[in-house]
Amino acid sequence: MMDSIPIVALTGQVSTKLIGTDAFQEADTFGITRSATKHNYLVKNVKDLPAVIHEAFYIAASGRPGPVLVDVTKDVFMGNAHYEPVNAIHLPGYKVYTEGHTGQIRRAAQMMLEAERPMVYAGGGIVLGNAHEELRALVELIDAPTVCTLMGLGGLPSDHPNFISMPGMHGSYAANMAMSGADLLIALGVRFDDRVTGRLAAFAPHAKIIHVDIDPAEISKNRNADLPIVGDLKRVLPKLCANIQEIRNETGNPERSSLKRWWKQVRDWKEEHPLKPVFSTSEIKPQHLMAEIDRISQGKAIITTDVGQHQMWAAQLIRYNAPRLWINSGGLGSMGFGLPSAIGAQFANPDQLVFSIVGDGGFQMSLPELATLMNYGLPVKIIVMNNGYLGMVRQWQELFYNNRLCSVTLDSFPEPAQLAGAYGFKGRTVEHPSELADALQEAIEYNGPYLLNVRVTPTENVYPMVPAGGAINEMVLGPVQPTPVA
Amino acid sequence: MVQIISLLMENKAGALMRVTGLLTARGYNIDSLTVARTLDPGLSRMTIAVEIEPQGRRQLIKQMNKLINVLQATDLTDGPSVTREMVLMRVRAAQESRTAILKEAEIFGARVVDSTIEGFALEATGDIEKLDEFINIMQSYGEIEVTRSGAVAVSLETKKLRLSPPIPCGEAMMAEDKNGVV
Repeated sequence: MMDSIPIVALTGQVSTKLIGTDAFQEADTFGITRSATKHNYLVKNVKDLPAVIHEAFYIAASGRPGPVLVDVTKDVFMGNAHYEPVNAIHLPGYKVYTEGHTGQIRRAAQMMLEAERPMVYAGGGIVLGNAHEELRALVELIDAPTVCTLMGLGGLPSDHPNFISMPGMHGSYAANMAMSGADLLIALGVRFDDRVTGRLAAFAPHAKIIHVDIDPAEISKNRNADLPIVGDLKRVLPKLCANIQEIRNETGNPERSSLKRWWKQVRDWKEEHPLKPVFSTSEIKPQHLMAEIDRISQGKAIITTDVGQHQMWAAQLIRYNAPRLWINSGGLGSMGFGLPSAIGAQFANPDQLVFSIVGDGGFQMSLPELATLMNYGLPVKIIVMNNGYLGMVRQWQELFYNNRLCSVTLDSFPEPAQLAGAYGFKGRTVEHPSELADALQEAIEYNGPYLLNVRVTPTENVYPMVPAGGAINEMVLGPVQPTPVA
Repeated sequence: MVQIISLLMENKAGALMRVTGLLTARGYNIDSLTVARTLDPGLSRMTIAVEIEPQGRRQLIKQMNKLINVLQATDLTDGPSVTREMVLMRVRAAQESRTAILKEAEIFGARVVDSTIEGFALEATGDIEKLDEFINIMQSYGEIEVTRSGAVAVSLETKKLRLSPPIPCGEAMMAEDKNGVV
C-alpha cells in the first residue's frame, strides 16, 4: 500500500450462509484488510463476480496503484452462472487525474528556468509511472542535479552524470547537502517521507517546491507545495519539457553562470565525502560485498532485499541503470521480503540475473520460500550478508541507547551447504575477503538457485546517518572517534 | 475544534467502515455521524461531526475523497452551511410542573409526541447549541432521558459534483484500444 504496488489478491471465504457464525476458518478478511488495501470486495453472489474482477484490476493498476483484495465466498467459487460480458465498469467516485493543469505546468517551467540552484527529487512514482525516459529528458534539458529516493532508484540511471545518489537518513553527503542548499526542489512522484526529509522544519529550507504527483492527497501532506501539479508523470513531464523549450525559444537561452556555480558546489560535496566501499584484508566488509555485486551486475542485475543495513548498503553502493531492477520494501520496511520478491522477479524475467541480498535475520523469516524456489527451479542467487545481528537495530541500540544491546544477537545460522543441500541446491559460506570474488562467480555460474552465506564484519555501521529527528544536513559521516586524552 | 464533514457516497456494504476507518486510523473520535439514503437510492448522504486540529482537516478531506465509494467529501466548517440536530426526550413531570414544561417546550419549538401521567415525550429540532440549552432547562424539571440524532448539515453553496464516466472494459476496451491505434 505505502509503496503503491498494484496487486490483486483473491482470497477464499466461507460459504455465504456461514458468514458470521464463527464457522471453521472464518475470518473477517474484508474488515481486516480494509486499512491495508486501496480497495477491497466481498463477493457473495456469483453474478457480481465478473464486474468485481474487472474493477479490481482497474483500481489496482490505475491512478496511484495499490493492492486490491477480492474475498470470494465458497459458494461463489463453486457456483455456476451464465457469463455476461462486462463492457463497462461504473466507479463514479474514483477519480484519476492524469493530465496536469496547463497553467500550473507553464508556471513550473518558468520556475525551473529562473532557479539558480534547481534540484530534482525523483521517487517511486517515476518507476511506477514508467516515466524514466521522460525524467531523463527533463533532467538533461534543465541540467539539474538529481537524487532518486529508495523507491526511485533506477528512475534515472545511476551512471547518468546528473545522478547524485539517494537522499535521506542514509543518503550521501552530496545528496543531502544539495537538498538543503537548493533554491528549487522539483519533487516528482515522491511523498516527502520522514526517512528522506529528516526534521521537516529544517528540510530544504531555501527551496521552493514544485510537487508533481498523481495522488492529490500527497500534495502538501508533509511539506507545503509552492506549485502543485496533480497528474501522471508520464504525461506531465513531456508537457513541462515542451513549455521549457517554448520559453527558451521566446527568451533565448542565456548561459547560466549560477547553474555552473551550483554544479561546482554539488561536485565539491560529492568529492568531499563520496559514497565509497570500505575494504579490509582480514575480514569481509559489507560494503566490499556490495562493491563486488556491483562489479558483477554493472547496473543490470535485479537486486531484491529485505530491510536493514544490507538494504542501505545495497542502495548506496550498487548501481541501477534501469527502473525495476531494485526491488525492496521501502515504506513498511518488512523483513523477509527479499526472497519472495526475488522469486517473483525471476518468474517475470527468467533470463535475467536475480540477486536476493538479505540479512541473516530476514533470511530466516523466509525459509519456507526455499521450497518454492526449488519447486519452480528458479536460479535466484541468495546472498546472505551475515553479521550475526539484526544489524540495523543493533546500530540504533549502539548509537542511541548506550549500546545496551537487547534481542539483536543471532547466533544460530544454519549451515548453508546443508540447508541448500536439503532442498537440492548448492550453498556455501565465505569468510575471507580473498575468497569473495570467486565465491560470487561460482554462485552465478551454478545452474540453479544458490545460497551464499557471506560472513561480514559483525559491528559495521551504515554511514552517513542522519539521527532520527535531525536535519538532513547534520549527518554523522562515520564512526565517532574517541577524543584522545591529552 | 469540531468539524462538520458532508459526504455523498455509494450506498454499499462496507462504505461506512471505510469512512470511519480513516478517522479511527488517525485516532480521531467521532462526535456524531448520521447517514441516510438520498433521492437516488444508490447513494447515501453522511454528516460527520468530528474533533480535529485545523492542520489535519484538508488532509482528511483529501483522504476521504480518495475512497472509491465516496463521490464527494466536503468540509462544511468554514463555508456557508446549515447544521441541525433533532432530539427526542422523555421528561418525568410532577403534576404541578406540567404546564411549565409545555410552555418551555413551546418556546423552543418542541412538539409533544406522547403524554402520560408520568410525563411527556418531546421532539425538538434546532441547531446544536439551542438543543443543549433546551436539554439543560428540561433537566431542571426532573429526570429526563435524551436521544440525539447527531448533526445533519447541508451546504448553502452549490458544489459541482464531478463524477467519473463509466470505464470501458473487456471487449469494449479492446475495441477502443484498436481505434486508438488506428
